[in-house]
Amino acid sequence: MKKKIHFKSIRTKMILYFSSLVLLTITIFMFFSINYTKDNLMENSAENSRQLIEQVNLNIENYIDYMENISQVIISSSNVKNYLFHSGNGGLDSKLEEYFQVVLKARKDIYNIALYGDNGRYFINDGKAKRNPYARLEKKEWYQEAKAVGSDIVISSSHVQNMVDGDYKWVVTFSRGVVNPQTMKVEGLLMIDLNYDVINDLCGAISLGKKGYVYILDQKGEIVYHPQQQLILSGVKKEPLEEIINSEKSTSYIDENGEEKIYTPFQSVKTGWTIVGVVYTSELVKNEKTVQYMYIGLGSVLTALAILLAFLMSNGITRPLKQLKAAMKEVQEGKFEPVYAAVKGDNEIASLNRSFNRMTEHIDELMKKNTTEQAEKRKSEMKALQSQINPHFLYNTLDSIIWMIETGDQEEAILMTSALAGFFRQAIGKSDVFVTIWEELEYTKNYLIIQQMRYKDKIDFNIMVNQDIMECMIIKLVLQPLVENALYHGLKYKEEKGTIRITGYQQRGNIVIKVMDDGIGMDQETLKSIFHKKSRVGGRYNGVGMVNIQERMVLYYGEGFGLFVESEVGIGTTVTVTLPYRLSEEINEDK
Amino acid sequence: MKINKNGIIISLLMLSVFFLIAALILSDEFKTDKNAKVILIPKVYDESNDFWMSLISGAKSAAKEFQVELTILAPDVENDYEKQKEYICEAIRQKPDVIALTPIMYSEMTEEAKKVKEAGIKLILIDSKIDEEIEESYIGTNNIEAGIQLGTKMLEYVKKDTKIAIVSHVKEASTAIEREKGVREGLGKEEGRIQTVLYSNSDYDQAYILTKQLMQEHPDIDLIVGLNLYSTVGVARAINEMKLGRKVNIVGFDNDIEGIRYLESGVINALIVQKPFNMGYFGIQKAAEAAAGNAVERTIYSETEIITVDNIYISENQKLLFPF
Repeated sequence: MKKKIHFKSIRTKMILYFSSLVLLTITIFMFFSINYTKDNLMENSAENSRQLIEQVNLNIENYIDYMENISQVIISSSNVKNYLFHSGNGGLDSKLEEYFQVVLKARKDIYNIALYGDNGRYFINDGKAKRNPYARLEKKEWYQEAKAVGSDIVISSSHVQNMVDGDYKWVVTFSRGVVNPQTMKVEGLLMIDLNYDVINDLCGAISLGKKGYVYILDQKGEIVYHPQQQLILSGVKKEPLEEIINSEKSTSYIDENGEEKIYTPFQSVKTGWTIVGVVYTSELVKNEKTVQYMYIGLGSVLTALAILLAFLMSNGITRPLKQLKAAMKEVQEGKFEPVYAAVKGDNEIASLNRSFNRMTEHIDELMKKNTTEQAEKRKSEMKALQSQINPHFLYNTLDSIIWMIETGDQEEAILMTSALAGFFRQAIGKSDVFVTIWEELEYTKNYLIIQQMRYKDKIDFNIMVNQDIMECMIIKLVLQPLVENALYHGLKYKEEKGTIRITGYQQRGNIVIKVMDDGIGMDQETLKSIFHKKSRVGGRYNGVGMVNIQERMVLYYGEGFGLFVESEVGIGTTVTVTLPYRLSEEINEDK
Repeated sequence: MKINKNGIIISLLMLSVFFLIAALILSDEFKTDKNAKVILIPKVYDESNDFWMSLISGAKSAAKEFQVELTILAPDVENDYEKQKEYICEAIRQKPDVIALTPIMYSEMTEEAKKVKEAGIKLILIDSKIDEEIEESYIGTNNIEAGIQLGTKMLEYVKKDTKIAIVSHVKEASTAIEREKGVREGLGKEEGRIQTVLYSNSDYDQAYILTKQLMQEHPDIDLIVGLNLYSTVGVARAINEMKLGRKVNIVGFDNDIEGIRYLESGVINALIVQKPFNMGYFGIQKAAEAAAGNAVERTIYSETEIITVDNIYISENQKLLFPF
């Protein structure tokens, strides 16, 4: 139960809302940014590959430049031409040897330098190297191409050079036609073999992730370098060859193991080769995962922050609310005056608090007023009761009874005694403030009976009250004092017999009871002074004064209810009592 | 104050759930990051031996591609099977996931191979087999198939009166038996032309001597097939020396520089070459698969290629004949 209530607390709600908001935001953010980063990573990797490949290309082109320079120098040398195209040249061998050796010693990456003349003359490296008689150079593709092109440089693919006897080395051959100055035709060929290790090392050193690699294709789509050349040539592995040469952008392919790879090609203008960088997407994705973890971490931190913030904020809201709640509880328990929830500030809760404070003050005021009223009521009742137990009335009545017994008028004595008993039973016995109209009338009747017996020929009375109001409630001691007043102030001074009439009925939701006498009446002046506490007529003379009745009526019923007195000298007085129509239950509720 | 405590508990709970998920994903990641450990034991590590260097290079290439932690333990001299046995024991001590072995001996190292299995290490055999089939997978040349390939090629050199001699290596060796069987099958109805089968015992000189004797005894033989490198080269040396290159056609298994020179000069007419790079590559690929707990094929045959003087330098073959 407690937990349930707790879950509904503002703080918990705020924490939930805040955290879900943060998590939602981060999830969306993550989704978009991961998509973005994926593209970004692809782009970056392509860019990275491209830079590395460009570096490879730059290095290769450096070699080419160098080869071009050397070959240019060699083919323009008259010694070379003379050696190739003129027979009987004694000292040229040593000159060429010296020349070639300088180059070969300076550049370890140059494996062979060879000159071949169409006429069968040749010179390889130091001039002492034997030509492989079975080399069949003229059958090699690169040789044929170099022959066809003329004096321009031709770069072969990677191949095994077998022109030197017993020597088989992987090289890339740069060949160039040598022009015979006499015929002005290309009649010889210069070949420079670049050690393939150079390219091997260059490409092998490139790191494209743990698994990525570089490969090189020539113009025809043949492999110059590939770390798994054997696998590709024997068809075990497939690699996009022709497709790559024709594409300029990074493209991804899926290999036979189901791995996605990104191929970034770079076309070398000088060599016509295509250098391709290959990166495994799975390795990029690994990086991407790191980014995801970063987001998850960020999400955790932000959620924690959100929770903290929710705490602080909900504290800011709930603390004054809790204070207010505590204050309300005190009010609930009945303490009014010292309860002031002290909330500073200008926000809604502070204003709520101020309203609460005002309300408490108001209630406090009302409570005080109520207490005073209650005290007053009690005082009035006390007064009424005190007046009721007026000893003179008792003495007189008892005197009358004694006198009746003495005269032997036993029946009268019994009647009077029982009336007196009834009268007092009601006056003293019942402590309730309210009685039914019937009870009040009985009480009044007993009183009237007693008085009638005492002043035999002087009083007559007549009660005509509608049955439907008999069960309605009325404040105790309203009618009897009025009757008493009528007797003592109206009929007492009349020579003949006087009559008191009481009527009662319902009128517009109220009850109207009239006490009428045909006594001496009052002049206007006396009438006006009735409700002055100090007037002789209104004041306490015998029984309950008009003022007391009026006060009590207003206290219990409110303004608008009470007594209305009409009188005319010599004709009589009519007192009209107006009270709300209330049945017994309603009165009880009022209490 | 109570609410405070509860709130903290809730937030801690949410955080811990978050971190738990993160940790789960991370641990999953670490699992896949763990590389398989494989030890390769070739017959020899000798930089001048193209076949084995090529096989090792294929293995390294696969190790990079499949992210395998590869260690190579190899004798310095070929046929040092005692040393290889020691290396097998050493490899078991290192507790790899897989041991890839190229056994030097057919029956002498079966006991060591069993120890590998007993240690819970998976065994892969490359190039050669042992006398019990306890390996996870075998990767090598299908010798019968290669023999058929060569035998079929030999038909091109069969003339009307052609007589054939076979120079094998070791009489009981599985490769010798299988290759001979294949050659006979490839020759088909011309099988009857086979005059004799000689055994060089994997020795150049013995092959050389045997060939000289053969040619003296049977001058009419004009097609000789060598069933391994030693036999083939020994035969070529003898024929070249006897200046019978034009008359006698030679075909054979495997290659080295000498063999290629004889091929270039026309002494040898055709060589059938294996693909050691591919073998090494497949060996480690299968090792990686076995280490990951996947089922691997029991036998994987690596192809062979017929090389003649006309196709030595085509790009497909250059890399086979001259791996470096």
